[in-house]
Amino acid sequence: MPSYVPLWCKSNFSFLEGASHPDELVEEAHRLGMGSLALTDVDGVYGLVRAYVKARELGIQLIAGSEITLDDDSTILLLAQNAPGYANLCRLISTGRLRSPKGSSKVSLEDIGGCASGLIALWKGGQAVTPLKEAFGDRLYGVVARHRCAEETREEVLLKARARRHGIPLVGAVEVLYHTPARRPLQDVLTCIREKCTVSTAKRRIRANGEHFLKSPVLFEELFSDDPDLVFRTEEVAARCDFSLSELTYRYPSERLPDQTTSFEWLERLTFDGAKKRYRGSIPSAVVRQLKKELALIDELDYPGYFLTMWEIVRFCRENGILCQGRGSAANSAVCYCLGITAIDPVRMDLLFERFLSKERAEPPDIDLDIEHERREEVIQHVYEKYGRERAAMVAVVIRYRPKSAVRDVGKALGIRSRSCDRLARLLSRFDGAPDEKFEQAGIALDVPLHRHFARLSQEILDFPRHLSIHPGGFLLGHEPIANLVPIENGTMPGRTVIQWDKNDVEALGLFKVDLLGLGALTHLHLCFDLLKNHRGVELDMARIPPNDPATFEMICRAQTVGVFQIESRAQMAMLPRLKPRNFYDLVVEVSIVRPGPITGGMVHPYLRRRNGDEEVAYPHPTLEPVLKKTLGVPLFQEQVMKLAVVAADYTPGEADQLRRDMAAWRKVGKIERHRTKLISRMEKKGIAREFAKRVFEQIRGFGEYGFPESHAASFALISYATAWLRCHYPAEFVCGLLNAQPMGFYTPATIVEDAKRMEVEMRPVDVMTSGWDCIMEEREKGRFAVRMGLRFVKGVGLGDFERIVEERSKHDRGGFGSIFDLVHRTGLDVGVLLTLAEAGAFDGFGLSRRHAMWEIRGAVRERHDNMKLVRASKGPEFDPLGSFEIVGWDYISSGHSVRGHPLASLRPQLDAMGLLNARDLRTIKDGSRVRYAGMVICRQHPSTAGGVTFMTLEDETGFVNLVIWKDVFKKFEVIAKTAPFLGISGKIQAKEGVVHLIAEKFWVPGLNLTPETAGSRDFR
Amino acid sequence: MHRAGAMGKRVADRLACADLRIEVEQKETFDVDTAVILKRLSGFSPEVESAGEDGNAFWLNATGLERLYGSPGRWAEAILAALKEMSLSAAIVVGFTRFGTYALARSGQGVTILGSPEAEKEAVHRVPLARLGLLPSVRGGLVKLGKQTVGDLAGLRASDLLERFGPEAYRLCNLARGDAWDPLRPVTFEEPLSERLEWEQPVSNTMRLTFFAKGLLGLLVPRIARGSRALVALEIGLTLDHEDKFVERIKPVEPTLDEGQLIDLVRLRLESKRLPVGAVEMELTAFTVPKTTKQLVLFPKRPPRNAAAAQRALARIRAEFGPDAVVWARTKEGHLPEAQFVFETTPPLTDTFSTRVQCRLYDCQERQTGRPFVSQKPHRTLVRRIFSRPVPLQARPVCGPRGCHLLGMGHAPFTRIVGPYVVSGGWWVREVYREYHFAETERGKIVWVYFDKRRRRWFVHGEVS
Repeated sequence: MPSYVPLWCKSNFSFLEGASHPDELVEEAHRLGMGSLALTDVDGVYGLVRAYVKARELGIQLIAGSEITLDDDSTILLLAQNAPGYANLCRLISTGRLRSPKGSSKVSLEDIGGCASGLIALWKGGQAVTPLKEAFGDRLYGVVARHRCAEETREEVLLKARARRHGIPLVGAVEVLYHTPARRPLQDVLTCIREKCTVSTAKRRIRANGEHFLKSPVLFEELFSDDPDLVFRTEEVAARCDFSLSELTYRYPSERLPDQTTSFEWLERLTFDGAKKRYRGSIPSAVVRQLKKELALIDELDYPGYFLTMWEIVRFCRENGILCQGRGSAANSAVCYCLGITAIDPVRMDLLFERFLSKERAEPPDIDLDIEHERREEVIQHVYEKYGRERAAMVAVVIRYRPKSAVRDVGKALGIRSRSCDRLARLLSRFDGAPDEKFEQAGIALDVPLHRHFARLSQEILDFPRHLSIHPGGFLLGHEPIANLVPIENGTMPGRTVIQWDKNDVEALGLFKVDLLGLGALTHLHLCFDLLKNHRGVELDMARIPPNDPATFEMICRAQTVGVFQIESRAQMAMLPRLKPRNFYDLVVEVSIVRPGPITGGMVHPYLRRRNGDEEVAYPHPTLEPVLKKTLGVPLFQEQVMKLAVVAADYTPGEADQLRRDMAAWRKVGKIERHRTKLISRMEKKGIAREFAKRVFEQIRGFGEYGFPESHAASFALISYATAWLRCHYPAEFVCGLLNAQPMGFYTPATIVEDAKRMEVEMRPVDVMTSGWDCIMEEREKGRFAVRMGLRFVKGVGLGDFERIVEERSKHDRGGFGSIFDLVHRTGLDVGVLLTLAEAGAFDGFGLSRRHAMWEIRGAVRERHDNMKLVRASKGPEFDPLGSFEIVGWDYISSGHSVRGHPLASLRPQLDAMGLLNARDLRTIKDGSRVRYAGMVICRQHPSTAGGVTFMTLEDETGFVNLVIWKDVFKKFEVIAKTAPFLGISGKIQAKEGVVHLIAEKFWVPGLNLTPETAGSRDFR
Repeated sequence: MHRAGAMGKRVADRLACADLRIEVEQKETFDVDTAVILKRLSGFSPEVESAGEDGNAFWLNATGLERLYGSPGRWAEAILAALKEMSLSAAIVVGFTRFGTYALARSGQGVTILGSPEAEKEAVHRVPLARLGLLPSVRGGLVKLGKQTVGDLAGLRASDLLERFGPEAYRLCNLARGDAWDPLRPVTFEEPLSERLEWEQPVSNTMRLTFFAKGLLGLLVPRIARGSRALVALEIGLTLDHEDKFVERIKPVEPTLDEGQLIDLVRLRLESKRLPVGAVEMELTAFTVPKTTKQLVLFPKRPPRNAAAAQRALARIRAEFGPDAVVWARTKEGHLPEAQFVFETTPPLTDTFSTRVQCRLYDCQERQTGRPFVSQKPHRTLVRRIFSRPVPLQARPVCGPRGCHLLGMGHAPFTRIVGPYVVSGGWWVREVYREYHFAETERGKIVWVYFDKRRRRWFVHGEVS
């Protein structure tokens, strides 16, 4: 039986070169009966963990290696023999990456020589052989690569001659770029994308033939039939490599404690000190018990350092006035609560600690820390400073091909007209792939062979890595230098270094990750607190916001929640009048119920019926009552599902956690099925009816990965309540803070401004004499404030421009500027910036119309550098005054919003004449009525859980209208529904429980003589 | 008028004249030269101008022509009909000012006759600025100010516009106000020079024809020289006895008035052709360019090779064997052998030319040496001669006891085959998959063959010697 080991395989993590996923290569090697495979991506080990996970699963040996680029652009293959060799390989790659611009790497022969220990080198003949021979000794092999190219023969002859002269053994190889010959076209396309050319102009930049696939042992032996030693020696090389990623030893950094206190003792002391503060000196016995239990486990698993790190980061935030709050399962931990990392008391809320940490889970805990997004960089730099660049690096994010980028890049590589590609890209959504019918819709006929290639390759390239980016806040910290574990490279952002693995890789290897996530809502809150303090002298923070405020909950029940964290979306707004949250726990439920898990698990309607008293609250077994009581017998949270398994099926906490993980992965591998028999039979044993047991299992399965843990929902609900309270009691501060925290949330500034007007907050336009960069509050009368829009919203005006305005504005004795000429001359601003400001009405304060202002600016700019200015004798020409429609339109064009009016307000007479209702009137129409409506699209949503139903939110000057579009209607009107910013709809009203939806039946473009400007829509899955 | 370089490109032509003005708009899709239109329009007015900036517009001076045609309308209709014959459609405006006719032609269709300067002004003021081809930034700026038409623009002070929007808006404003006036700048038509000679008895003797040509050249060259021009091409037209016309064109190396050189080229060309019957008429037509004068170099450096002499020699070869007789193989980046070079007309020779050729040959030799051939005899130089078209072989080779008869039973069998070297690709248009082999016969002949997997057939693509 022939056999060999492919020693030169590049996956698609050799970016835009390899055309197979790492796991595909491993699977194919296994299918072909090979026992080993070396992964040698270019200057990196990006795909190693994915390949390792698959190799472990299939039981084949994965050799860790890399193709290293040298200064002269030649390459050499290095394979790790053992753990020190792997560390050397990572260090060598880090050296090359860190000294080169992002995306490239260069090392010298000296660098290689310095890291040669524990590595096998496969020399392709490109470099001077003597230094390599000295560095690697008998671990240096010459690699004879054959791809049936005539040009290779001469190189092979030279290589063999040199190898013979230096006594270097030879080994055969094929440069594997794809696991199957069918991927050859994709490899050509990837090359064209990399080289920025098309397949027809690529010439010799693409490979001469398709011989770069993973060859079977028979084919490989045939290729080297003239020299069988080259085949045998591949196995010799593989046998010399016995390193596995499982050997990686990793230690979390220990805190340096000068007084000989151990990390655990220090953590214990901090925890109980914190507990005293949290419980005002008297720690309840249940809390003490819980803390001791948690601390014992933390000590046993040797995790104190991790908790101390998180505590230290939180302390840094507090000391520097940065709002932060732990999210996710960390809120299940009393230790985290007492350390100040989280804000929810898990003991009082009866949260399940095992959801966060358990002995059975052989993996570290995951604490995600939300930090106000505008100040997250300060925290990141603090972590670098504290641990040093050697021991701290950010986790990568692999940017992959999604449908839009796929059709654009593949289309360009195939020479398809960019206009066609753009048209197609606009029709695609992130989650639906690139189905054939979209090509037809975009006018790309699939009966043309090239177009068929286009459709097929666009589908094939999906999920391929495009390049590496930085995770928003994931850090890998290590006791030893990180570069011994994984190569480090430069991030695009200055001052950032990033490892070559993403969070899934880090998790797969059980390494500790610290997540510092930016959260706009915390920035929003911080800004509101500052505004309250500065304008009203009200000192407020999260802890001091009055709890259970009835007015706030009244407002929430009316779904007036634009800008309120987590409950502002269309779906949440539709749920609020039905669920009618009246206390904090209702808000926790509200946050978690509008999630794919509960929706697909069929839990929403039973819960609502029981809550409204339409259905009796019943428990399938008395033992389940404590678990499900809080949610009226319906499981809504991940913890409940886990507790259900513990109580009803006698799962250990660890088994329950495994159930949660399998729930998360069931869609991919069907792991959940292995729990079916176990759960049902154990429940039956406890006396629970088989029918109910089955139903519980179905619910668990439906719950999938999409449910929130209760702790996470509670953490978010805290922020939701805080923002809602501010909206209710301090709307001006709320709006001002929200606008200044942009970009964030669900709505555009235009929608926020319209909503503010409906809240009767006086919104004032940008004014070059008074506006700040951000929005500011201006006192109207005692205790009443208006919001003045900031210049940051004017398109094309940069912070530098604003600073020049402020600098000159503050110099003038009387404040401000005497005239437009004065402003133009003193600020020296670019004419484009000045004209945009004029277009936005920022010069209205000078008493000139916008057109006059533009005319004056053009004249003044011309004279700016004229030392002999002429005195202007005459008044400027006459210009037609702008109508209200034009004024609002100009506002939208120049700043994306208008405080002066809504684009549809001046069109209302025309819309009325067409018999079209506005949003306010629509809410009063009875259920089942047929209506016609026209509005501006502000949001499109196509949830995967909605069975093909699309939701849209439209807006006019009186409010929102929510559309429900059934699958067939959407399909019929897809192009207009997806692309038109101003839409007319004919449909039927659905009014239930105070929630009004318009069920769309037909879409059309309103035939008006004017087209309103819009701020665009935000489209979500 | 656009020079319509690409088929399918929509060409919009406009035409107008100074006193009586015309604009032509071509709506058909075809390839028309500006010169052809100018020539055609010159039949309607002695003074025709092509708008330099807007290549689609023409002005014609029609002063006094209404007497010839009866009315300006008929004159315009006649032009329209003439242009239609050329598959052109047009907007023609007969008016009083250069700008007025231009602006109206850009915004109208068919024939417009303006009765008075006032009527023209009124009509022009209604023309949208969008039709006048202003820079988008200028037009956008004016539209923002609510200035949408020529009339709006004319209401502004030109000096204010110059300050704010630059010279383009300034000029347009002045034109709109009638403050600017440019005289018509008619084109002049250059005719090629020619000389003719007729015989009563047909002449077929090349030598005699050459001598006749020499006589005609003796007349032509002084005429060319008088115009300070030089000859770049010479067309020899022979009217054959009861046969079609015989036309040949020769080109000297560079523009010249050297009769000796020209007659030598004429002789070579005529000697290379065989006339079916005798000629009864000869016409020589000279195509000329303005003569350039070169600065004489006091101490010219003599190049190691005489490129000029080489050029003259190549010109003689072209004259004798036709213009495609001399080509140059340029290497190209491609995987298929035939895609790795292309034959092109030779570029002007330089002194480094032969060095470059040598380099290329060296490179070829390196590439062409296959593994076994080089390794065994490193000093042996093998040259692969590639056939211009691969020669198909029998579908299935016949293998006999002495080897494989790929070339057929009449040829020696192959005793040694090296390969395959695979070249495949082109999947996006027409997939190619070739397996190349070097095959050596028992007599030592090496051929370069491939198996075309798609066509399932063997081909010989070259020989190695």
